Amino acid sequence: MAEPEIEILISPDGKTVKIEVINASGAECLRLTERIEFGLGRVTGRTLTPDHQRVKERVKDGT
Amino acid sequence: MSHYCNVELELRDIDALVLALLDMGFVRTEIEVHSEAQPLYGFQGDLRPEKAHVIIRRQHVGDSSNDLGFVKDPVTGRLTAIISDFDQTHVIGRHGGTYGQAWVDSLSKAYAVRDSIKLGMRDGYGRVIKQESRADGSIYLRLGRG
Repeated sequence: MAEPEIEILISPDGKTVKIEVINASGAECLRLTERIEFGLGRVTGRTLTPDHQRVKERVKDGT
Repeated sequence: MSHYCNVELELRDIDALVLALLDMGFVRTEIEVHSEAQPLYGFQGDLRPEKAHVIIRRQHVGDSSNDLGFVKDPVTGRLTAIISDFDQTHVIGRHGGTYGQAWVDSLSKAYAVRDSIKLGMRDGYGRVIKQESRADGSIYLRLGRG
């Protein structure tokens, strides 16, 4: 698997930042950006993508 | 890819703010940083009621300008810009514009880039793989391990 990377998109007015992790999943993915998220400001929303859910289900099923 | 999150930017880091001000065209010797807030002065050398922790004195801001500052809230740690109405609408800085909303927006973006890299570095993700300004005014940044 490729190395995790963090994508950051700063809005045109500089008021909001969208942070996305690629090549990482599950808790590792959340841990990767947590300090950046809270360091930059106030988190207003977090969305888990299907990849995250798939990894969670695999862990639950023990597969 | 497994999650994304939206953050409302808050300026809290003085080091990142100083770097952002450098990106905006000021030089380091023009930027004062104080642990205790210091008074700001107006264009005639008059003492203004505001105090700030980060200050750019009026001679570096532009003709007939007032001091420009950033004050840190002792409770939240948030930095708030103090820019006079006159400087926001009339004073032309060396960037070629006034210190109005467009300047504040550009500063915020520069701050977000600098703070993101600093925070990424702290967790081992300080290598800038890509940074680009997009046509809509947004800035894209990709950080990798390193």
